[in-house]
Amino acid sequence: MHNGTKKRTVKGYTPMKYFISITAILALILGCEKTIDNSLQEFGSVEFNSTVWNKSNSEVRAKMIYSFIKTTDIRKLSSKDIYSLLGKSTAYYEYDEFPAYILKSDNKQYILAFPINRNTNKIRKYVLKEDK
Amino acid sequence: MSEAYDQYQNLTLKEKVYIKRYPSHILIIKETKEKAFKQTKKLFGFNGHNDKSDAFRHCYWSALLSKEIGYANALVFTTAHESSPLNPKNEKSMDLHNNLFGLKIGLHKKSDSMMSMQCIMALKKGQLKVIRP
Repeated sequence: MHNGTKKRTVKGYTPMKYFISITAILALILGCEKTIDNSLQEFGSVEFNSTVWNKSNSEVRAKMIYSFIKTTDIRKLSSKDIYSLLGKSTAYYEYDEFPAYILKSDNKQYILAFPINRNTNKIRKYVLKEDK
Repeated sequence: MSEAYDQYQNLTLKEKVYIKRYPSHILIIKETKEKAFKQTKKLFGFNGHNDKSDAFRHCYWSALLSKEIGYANALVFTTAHESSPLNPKNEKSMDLHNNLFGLKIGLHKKSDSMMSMQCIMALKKGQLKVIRP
């Protein structure tokens, strides 16, 4: 085998191709996350208040969620902490033990969920999904 | 993080054991789950928690799974789905009851729309469990 051929990996990937692929994947990941944050901001930026949240409907809640996510380190919270701040789940996402809430904005319905790490019982992240 | 990896992170330990044994069922499980969510949204307007929509979704998803992968496998998987120690006992009890009802409906391998109707009938007759009426 020639040296020139040896530089290529078994699957035919050159270092440049690896770099481009990884960059593309990272761009995709970061791009997706940014879209979610932007979606939340588009709902509104009313300051989060737990008491007000618990008395409010899903449209008012949608306006508060950006402030909540921005000001709360959700990864330090357990599902119990989320329930004490946001109340009982109003939606279902994957499992009963994942706190999940219905949000409404611009005549669209969304599910905001907080999947947990089953080993630590801490929130892994938030998920915002249009309920269609 | 890819969606597949993320989904895997969400699984209970028993679900992970199941899909390692039956990897060919992963796609069926995903598709039937999505079908059940869509049908619930279509019939109830939302996918609720501990309410009638929740009872229906569990019944219908279990029926679809029972039809596609067989009663025994569907029973193992749907029970594994509820197996987290963090799952509140009363909610687990409700879900297992409604799953079992759906699994039996799926045994007869009727059309999806017929099974959906049977789950709705069961709900109307009070045969499905609901915590929040």
